[in-house]
Amino acid sequence: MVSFANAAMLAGLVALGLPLLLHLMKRQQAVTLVFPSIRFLRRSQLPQAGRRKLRDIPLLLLRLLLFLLLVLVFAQPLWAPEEAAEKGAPARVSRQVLLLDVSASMAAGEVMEAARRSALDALAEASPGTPSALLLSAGRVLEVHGTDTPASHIRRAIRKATPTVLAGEHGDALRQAAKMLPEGGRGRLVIISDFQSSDWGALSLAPLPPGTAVDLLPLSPPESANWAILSARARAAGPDQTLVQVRLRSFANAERMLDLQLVSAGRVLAERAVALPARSIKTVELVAAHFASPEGLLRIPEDGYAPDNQFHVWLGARPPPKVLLVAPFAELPEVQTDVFFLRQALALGSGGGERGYAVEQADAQFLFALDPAAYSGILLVRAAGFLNREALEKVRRFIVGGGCVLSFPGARAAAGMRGLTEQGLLDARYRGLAQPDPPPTVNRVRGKPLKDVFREGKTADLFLTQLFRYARMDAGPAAEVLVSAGQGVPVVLRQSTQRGTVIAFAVPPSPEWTDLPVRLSFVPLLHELLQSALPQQRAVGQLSCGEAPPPPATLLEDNDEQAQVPDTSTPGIVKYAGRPLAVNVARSESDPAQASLAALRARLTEPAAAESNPATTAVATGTPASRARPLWPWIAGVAALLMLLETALAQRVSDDKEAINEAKPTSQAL
Amino acid sequence: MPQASPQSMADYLSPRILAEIENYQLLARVAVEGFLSGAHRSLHRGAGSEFLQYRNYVPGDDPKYIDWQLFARLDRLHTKVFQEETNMNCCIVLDASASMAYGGERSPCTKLHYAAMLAACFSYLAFRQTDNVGLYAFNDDLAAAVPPRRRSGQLSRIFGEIGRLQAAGKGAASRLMPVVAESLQERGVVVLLSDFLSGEEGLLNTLRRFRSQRHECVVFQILDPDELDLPFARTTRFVDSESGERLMTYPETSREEYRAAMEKHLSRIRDICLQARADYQLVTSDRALGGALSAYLHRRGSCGPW
Repeated sequence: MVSFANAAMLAGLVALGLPLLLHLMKRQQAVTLVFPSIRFLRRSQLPQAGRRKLRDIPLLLLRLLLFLLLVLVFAQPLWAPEEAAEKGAPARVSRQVLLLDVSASMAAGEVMEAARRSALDALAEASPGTPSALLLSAGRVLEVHGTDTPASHIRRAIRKATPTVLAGEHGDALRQAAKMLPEGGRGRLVIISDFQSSDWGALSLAPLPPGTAVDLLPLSPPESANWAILSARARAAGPDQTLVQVRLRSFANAERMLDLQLVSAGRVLAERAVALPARSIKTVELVAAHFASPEGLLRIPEDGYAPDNQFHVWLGARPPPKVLLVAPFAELPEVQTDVFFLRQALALGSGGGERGYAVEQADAQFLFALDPAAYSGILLVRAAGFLNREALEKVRRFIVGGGCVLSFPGARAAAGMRGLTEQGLLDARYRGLAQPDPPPTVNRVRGKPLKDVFREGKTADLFLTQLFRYARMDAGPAAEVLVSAGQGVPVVLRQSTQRGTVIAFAVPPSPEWTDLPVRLSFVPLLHELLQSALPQQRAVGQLSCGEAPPPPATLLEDNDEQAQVPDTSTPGIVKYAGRPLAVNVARSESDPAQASLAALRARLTEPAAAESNPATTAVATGTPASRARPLWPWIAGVAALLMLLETALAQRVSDDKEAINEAKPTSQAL
Repeated sequence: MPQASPQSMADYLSPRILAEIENYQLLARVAVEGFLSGAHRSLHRGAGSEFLQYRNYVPGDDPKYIDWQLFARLDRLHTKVFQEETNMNCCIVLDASASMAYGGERSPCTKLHYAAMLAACFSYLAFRQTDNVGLYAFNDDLAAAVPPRRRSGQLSRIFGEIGRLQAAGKGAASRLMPVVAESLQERGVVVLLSDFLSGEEGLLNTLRRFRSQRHECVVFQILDPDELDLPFARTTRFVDSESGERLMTYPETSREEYRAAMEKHLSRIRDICLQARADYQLVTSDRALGGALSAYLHRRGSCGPW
């Protein structure tokens, strides 16, 4: 069977008659010549035989054939052996599976009602007695009604289907459907959905059984406009005051005034009218004070899609970010000294109403067994040189994922530097320990995070810091020197890697190495560095409905709260491992942009071939792309050969015409 | 000046080379001197009564002018050259109608240009032979009228008129030739340069009129090669250059008929000239001028004093 990947190019065949028409027109077109006298001329026309007979017929036919081949090359013909499977004619379907999308976006307007009607119609299209199955999908497979389910039960399940608050993730449902469809073809998959691009655009699919007919029944969201609360974040703005930053988005084509409210325990804490321009995102702030409950709810007037008109936000004090101190041989005096200074500095607040950090400690040799995801930052106190490969890999993933690592050198500074360098986390070359006399003094500080050390009373203190012993480091291009001493000796290096940060010190917080821990500038320096690097969102969790919370604390902690995973199936505030989690309907469900149905169908029928060359996927004709062979290279080769032949034949015709002209009798004096 | 250097004397008479010469005086001198030298060494100086000089005999000289006494003494042939006492009139009549504007692909110039070159050559030749030379050109009316004279500046005046000629309008030979004839007081040679595509009925009367005034007539019918064989291949819409009439024809099918009609016309012209005892020469605008010049000189040489 021959099909065409670009069948529209076949329209060029209508131009095939153009050369023929031009040839005939040229023959009949007369030239005008001013002649001395027409006295001896008689009117005549082309001979009858000559008028019908075309000259240079072989050349004309050859050129027409070349044009035809050129059109075919652009139409990209495909040849595939005949398939036994039909193209999804309902009359010959042996089994069908209906996949009904019940994600949050289906709650817009009358979309769900239209989905039920489409599903019932699809069920009715099948021949009586055709086994049918029903899958309800949103985030995961919520309901499965197998092919042995009576049709009446399936109809009832369709009528009862309602949109959930879950985001659409239908990979599992499609895999389930693939298992339920017959292997030998004659199966039919019907998907009823609004086909949001956020749900279907980047779906990872398993191929369906060959020969499966795929019907996509799209549902369009209502024409009514949608406004959404995208996100919100609260932080302390002073004693008994909380500042809430709210991001609003308009999907509408017209500007609108929205009444934004912050409610807690049934009481309106703050209210504000916001003018939201068309197709825009806007950030506004509300200030809440004297609230009884820290569970807040932001809301705007309901529109065509209500789930994104509310947003739960935690108004209470944010738990302190948790950091992990990793030190080897904690019983050693020097280690204890370092840990002592760091714990004291981290426990202090940095001002502005914010509390300090929650510090946990672990031995370096057990780091590999921990899950760093529970922490905002990791401080390697003389520990980098004691981490094995597995632990270093874990540190790397932690940093890449957005974490922050502070590294202080110790006796095994060389091994520590080497480990960080090999993981690509620090672009610096270790050059050994130095113990100069006199010790260098900090004389240069740069970088925004250290602005606090320039406050009055603290600036001079930092610039009195001496280095008695330090690890000599040569910073590479990727590493930034934040603090240096003496003749350009790097004291603090910082390097960003993807989403995370590494801050390397040339000295540990030990009086034997430096008097920095006893300086007034030590605490603000440490806090400024951490604040610049720690991801803020780790303080309060933000989850979508149905999303699993992150794993709890370390194995070293034994907390009863960690044993029970909270239910995130509905919007609200939940607690997990002592941390509040704000659960809201996924905002990806608010965007009505629809995925490409043709691309989706191609990926469903042959995912591998569609990813490599979507242009040759026989989406329009239903021919499996993997078995279709492109014919255009062969046609192009034939066309090239014919072009050579045309050139030779045209030259011969031209030579013949010249010979005829030369053979014409010339004038002679009589 | 000619773009290509002539390779032989015959090249001086080639219209392709002569057509490059814009100055008719120069053109005439180049062509005539080239014609008279080399193979055309017959020096026709007429047969006046006063002996001028001897020159070596060349084949073609009239035997009656050979000095046999000198031959007996020197055992070599010599020809007597006499000085003209009575100058001849040479009147050139040139057709400047629109039909003379045609020039096909095989011709280096239009028929008018070719006729103009001939007229210039004849003028120069006649003046060289101390004849009185004049020029008349006609289309709708007399386009040029320079009565035959022999005075300073006559040749320049003739060349100037030739250079100003433009092919336009219909040929009114029948009406204008009597006027020309009236202006010719003394007998001489009348050279007619035209394509004679029409008006052949008046041509006989014209020639007879000139003959009645004891003029010798030389008729040069100048045609383009295309007019003889109609070489066109495509369907053509012919437009008559003088009348503006249009006619569509496919030359492949009408060529033979055209040739026959043209042949018949040429025979008619030839017969008229024969009837009027005028010399007739058909020339095509792609041929060298030598033949035409020879014909003129032959007719000029036959004009003896009476």
